[in-house]
Parts: sequence; structure tokens; C-alpha cells
Amino acid sequence: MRDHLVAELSDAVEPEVSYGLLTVTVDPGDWRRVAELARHDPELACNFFEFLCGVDEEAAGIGVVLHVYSTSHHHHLQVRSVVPRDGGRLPTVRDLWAGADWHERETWELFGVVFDGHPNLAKLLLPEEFEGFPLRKEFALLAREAKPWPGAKEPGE
Amino acid sequence: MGLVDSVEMPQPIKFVFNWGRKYSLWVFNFGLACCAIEFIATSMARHDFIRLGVIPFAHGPRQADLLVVSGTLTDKMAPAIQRLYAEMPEPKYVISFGSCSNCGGPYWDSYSVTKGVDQIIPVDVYVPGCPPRPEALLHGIMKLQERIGSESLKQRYARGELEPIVVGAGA
Amino acid sequence: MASELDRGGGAAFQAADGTGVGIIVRDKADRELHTQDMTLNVGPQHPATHGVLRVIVTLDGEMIEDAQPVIGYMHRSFEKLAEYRDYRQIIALVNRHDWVSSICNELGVALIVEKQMDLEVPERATWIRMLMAEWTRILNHLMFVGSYPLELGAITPMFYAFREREEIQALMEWITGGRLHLTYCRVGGLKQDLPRGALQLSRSLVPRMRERLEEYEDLVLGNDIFIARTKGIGVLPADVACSYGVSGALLQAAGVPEDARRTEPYLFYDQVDFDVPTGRNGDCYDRFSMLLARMRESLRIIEQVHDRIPPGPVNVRLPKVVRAPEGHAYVRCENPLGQLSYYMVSHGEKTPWRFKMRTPSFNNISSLPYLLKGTLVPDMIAVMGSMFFIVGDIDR
Repeated sequence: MRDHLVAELSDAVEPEVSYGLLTVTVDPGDWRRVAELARHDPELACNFFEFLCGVDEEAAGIGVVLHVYSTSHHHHLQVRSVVPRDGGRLPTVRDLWAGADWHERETWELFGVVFDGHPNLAKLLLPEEFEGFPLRKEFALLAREAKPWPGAKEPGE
Repeated sequence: MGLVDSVEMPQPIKFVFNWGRKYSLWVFNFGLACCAIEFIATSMARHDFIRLGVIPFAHGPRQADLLVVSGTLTDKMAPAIQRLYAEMPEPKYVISFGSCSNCGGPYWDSYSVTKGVDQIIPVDVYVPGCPPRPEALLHGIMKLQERIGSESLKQRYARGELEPIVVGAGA
Repeated sequence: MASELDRGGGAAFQAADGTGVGIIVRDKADRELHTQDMTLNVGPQHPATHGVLRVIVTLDGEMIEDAQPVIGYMHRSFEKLAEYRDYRQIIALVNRHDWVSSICNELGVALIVEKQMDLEVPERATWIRMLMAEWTRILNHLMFVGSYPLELGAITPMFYAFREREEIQALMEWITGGRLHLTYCRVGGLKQDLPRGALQLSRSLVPRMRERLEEYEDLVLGNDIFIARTKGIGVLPADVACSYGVSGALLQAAGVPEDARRTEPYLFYDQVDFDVPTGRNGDCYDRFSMLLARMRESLRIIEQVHDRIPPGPVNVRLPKVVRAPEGHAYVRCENPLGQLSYYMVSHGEKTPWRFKMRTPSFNNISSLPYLLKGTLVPDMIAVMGSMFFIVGDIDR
């Protein structure tokens, strides 16, 4: 599968296998193309939507990871892209997998990545009045800042 | 309320009123999270709280006396619980069941959890545990019933501060 | 018998005995009566929704035009909290998102850390984990076997299901000390070995559970009212289900035999014999019968595991501070509610950098707008109940 992807997309992807999972890193510009290939290509046939999430990569930006699975070929594929922290945008894959709707909303509200073409990028999990993007690393948990937690010691310390 | 909260009632009448109230508590099942499963288990055949007079099928907050908050209260849900508490008619009692509703519990450092339901509504009995055993809930209900049996409504409505009961806290 | 007179867009009919005339309106635009869609708010506190799920439905009479679930009332930010906790604390935290299946949640965390650290788990620990996972699956399904008929109006199965649950929870308490949140798995094995007598108790529970399963089939699946309320309602076709990422009993009811224990066996599921049941229509009736079928398969697995637990240690000696090496890993488990996957990115510290929990109910409930469109209000409860979700699993 890795060779097929490389053959189709040549240098747009950087494939990597980690603990048995194939991850391809692409530029934000190729996101849509790779997603469509994963969905419609008969050798990949990734019809099952697993998740789409963000990973805070600090200085490099915010990584967005899309993970899909094929129920016919029984293989997983992870597509990863890094967008800038401020104003990061990616095209939506909602029309390819319907489950991406809520996952993209969640990634937007927790990380701040905007998905172009999504009709309803509104708050999903957080209350309306919530400010900030909680899963970013600079968002501190106030309860931990106010007082160091006494349970943080290892046994024996 | 009138007479009830301005005049200290004579002991026999107080006894009868309190007896009636403590053995017919209609509980509004405000089950939020995991503790709701233990709450349901307490109402089922094994540890039955219906035999204590607590009837779990109140049709809504308007027909309930007791609110058992079981589970984590998030900031998004807090206005709802305030509204539900306000809809309950007096006299009403609140049992906070489980450590999430006592103080935030295992999510004490979360950005979206209200650290304890007592930040929103006044609580009469705290039942600690994660989740507390059904026997702990039965103990809490019995302690509440003892409290109801001996309380004076005048004192309650004059907002005489009654210490909340914590189940399992020492003798 | 009615005779139909076609009158342009609408059709008028007259009853055979000459009484009354009714108009069948085919097209909304033909109506002489001006109507407006009503927005009904179901929840977040409602006896029929399992916990705090709010659905805003737009109604045209009794027909649902649109249903938008509003979630987040139980969002406790597990993913952020996991970044501040070390791996043992995460195990204690993570058995609270799907609060009726505790071991199955913890298993994933233990597996993913063991994968990254390349730890060899003792055989005895793996077999016992399988035993506990399957009993937890039965516990979880019993919860829904009890509550789904309750929503449809049948109160009795609830009491029977909880009677079973108490018996199995007694076994869990004997082994682990906890009734609901067990915290039994550890990175590299289990917290402690099985106490004496636990296996005998487990063996004696299996035939009793089998009998009770027969009782449930008689009581619920054969009931005319249940059949009328669930057959043909809420059909979820297989391709739509895959596109939404719906998994577990719901996907199997749609006809797709996708089960992580079969396609990507973890623990020792490839060494035991069990089938993956599938339904035919993907309606509510099929989803419910999937629960009973899955419970039956779990009992089969439990019986086989009983005879295969070898003696030996149940955990490995870990370093004082457990650190996962740098990198990212993914593990997929079959939670009773569906497919639970964990994706962890580690920077080599004792807490993970990013801990993504892909929970089954999140994707299952995202298909609610599709399912509820065009159903009637009484069927809404039947459909929502048949999604077998736990709100903590949706919101994490």
C-alpha cells in the first residue's frame, strides 16, 4: 500500500511506518487530493472514517491527522499535515466521509484550525461563551497553576 | 408559606409533618454520569431504596422533593441544574452523590467541569466515593431522613445555616 | 372503502358511508392551511435520553424534518487531562468515559503503552484480561438490554438485567475490589492475581447467564409490541454507516462483520473460537438482537478462556518512572459500544504529548441527523435508544 501511494503521488507524500501504522505527511495544499485518493482509489478503498484530530506541534504549527480504514482490505491509513498556528486552514473532507463533520468541528474548537467548505463550524463540545483553544499547549489548566498538586510525587520521593 | 416559617410549631404537629415528609420523598433522578448507574442499581431489586420511602419516578422537578445529583457537573450543564432546582417546590433537599458532584472529583483540573455542585445549589448530604457503593447512598438517605425528622421548618426557611451531612466522616 | 377523487395537487376522498370528506395533501405548497414547523427541544435532562444529550428537532406535525444533537454537556476534557497525568493515572482516568465498560477502556491504554515500550506481557495476564474484558462486555450489553425496553415502555427487563449485573459485579468486586470503575489493568499486566475461588465463581456464572439470555429472548424479542415498534424503524445502511464511522453492534446489524477482535486480533483473540454475528436490515430490531448475539459469543469466549489460563506472574517489573519512547502509536480495541481507538503521541516524557481517544459513541451519534430525518416522534425514542450510546463516551 505504501508503494502504491508513493507511485500515485510521488513527492507530495512522505510515508512513514510506525508500530505497524502507515502515516503519510502531506502539504496542506495536497490534503484534498490525498483524501480523495484514499477514498476512491480501488486499491486503497478507505471507506470507514475513524477520526480526524489535531496535535500541537509547538513551533512547527498544528498538525492535523486524518485516520481512515478500509473494511474490504482491512488496512489503516493515516494522513497528516501541519498548518501554521495562526490562521491555519485546510479543506474539508466532509463530503468524502460524513463522520468528518463533527470531527472537524471538534478540531476547530479545540485547536483553532479552520476547515474551508464546512457549512457549520460552530462549537460542539464547549459552551458558547468559552474563549480560547483548550488543547493548545499554551492553554494552561488554572487549577494546576494555582497550587502544585501534592500527588505529583513518585512513590519513594 | 406563611404560618410554617413564622411560627414554631408544637412538637406533636411537627413530628407528624416531619414523619410524613421523610417517608415520602419523591426523588428527581438527575443522573449525569457514572454515579447515575450506581443510583439506578440502588433503586433496583438488590439494594432497594423504595423501601425507605424514596420513590424514584417523579415525573419532573415540579413533583419532586429530593434532588440527587449524581455525576459530573460541567459548566455547560450548570444553568440547567440551577433552573431545575429553582423549579422544585419547597421544602426540597439535595443529595450530592459521588465525588464529581461533591468537589469536581477526578476532573479537578479540567477547564470545563464545575468543581462541585454546591457552587450552584445548596447541598444537604454529601456522599463521597467514585462511585459510592449503593449502601453509601442508602446511608445518606437514612441520615437525611433523620435530619428531616428532627428539623424545624422555621429554622430552615429563616436560612439558619445547617451543617451539611457528610456520609462516612468520622463518628 | 374510500373513493379517491383527484383534484390537482391534493386528493380528496369520501368515506363509503358518505360521512365526511378528508383531503390528502401530497404537496406542502397545496395546503390551504398555513403551517409552521415547530422546534422541539429534547433534553438535556430527559428520562429517555441516556444522560445529558440534547436533541433539537424541527417538527412538521409528527414528522421530524431535522434533528441536531447538541453534545458537550458531559465534556470533561479527558484529552487535556491525559497530558498532565502519567500512564498509571491515565488508566484510572480513562475507565470513566464509557462508564459501563471499565476494563475495555483501560485495556487500550495498557496496550498502547506496551506497544510503544515493546513490553512483553505475561501470558496469564493476557488471558485474565480477556476474561475480564468479556465479562465487561456482557455487563455493558446487559445495561442496554434493560434500558432499551424501558424506553419503549417495558419496565420488567430492567429489573432482570440489573439482577444479572449485580451477580457479575459481585464477581468483579471479588477479583478487583471495585464495582464500576475497576482500574485493574496496569502497564505490563494486571494489578493483582485472581483470588482463590474467583474462577469457580466465573465458571458457575456462565450457565446461569445462558439461561437468562434465553429468558430475555422470550421476554423481549418475541413481544409483539416490541417488534412493531422496532422492526423497520431507523434503518442504517452499511455504506452510510461506514462513512459516518459507526461501529460495533450498529455496524454489525447493518450487515458488515467488522470486529476488531477478528480483523486485527489483540490479546489472544485469534486463539479462541467465536463468530461475529451480523444482522440483515440494520433496523432497531436487528441492533437489539445483535446485543443478545454478542453476549452469547462472549459467553463462548469466557468458557474457552477458563481452561486456558496458565499459571505464572501477572505483571512485569517496571522501572520506577514509566516513560514511553518518542513516537506515535495507534491501538484499536473492540469496546462493547463499538470501536475504541487510542492514538498517542509521545515525546519521551512520563506523560503523553497528545492522547487522542476515538470513542465509538461520538461517531455513532453523529449519524443521528441522518437516522432521525423523516421519522415520527414516537419512533425518535426507539431510534435514539437503539444507538446504544453513553454520553461520557460522546463528550469525553
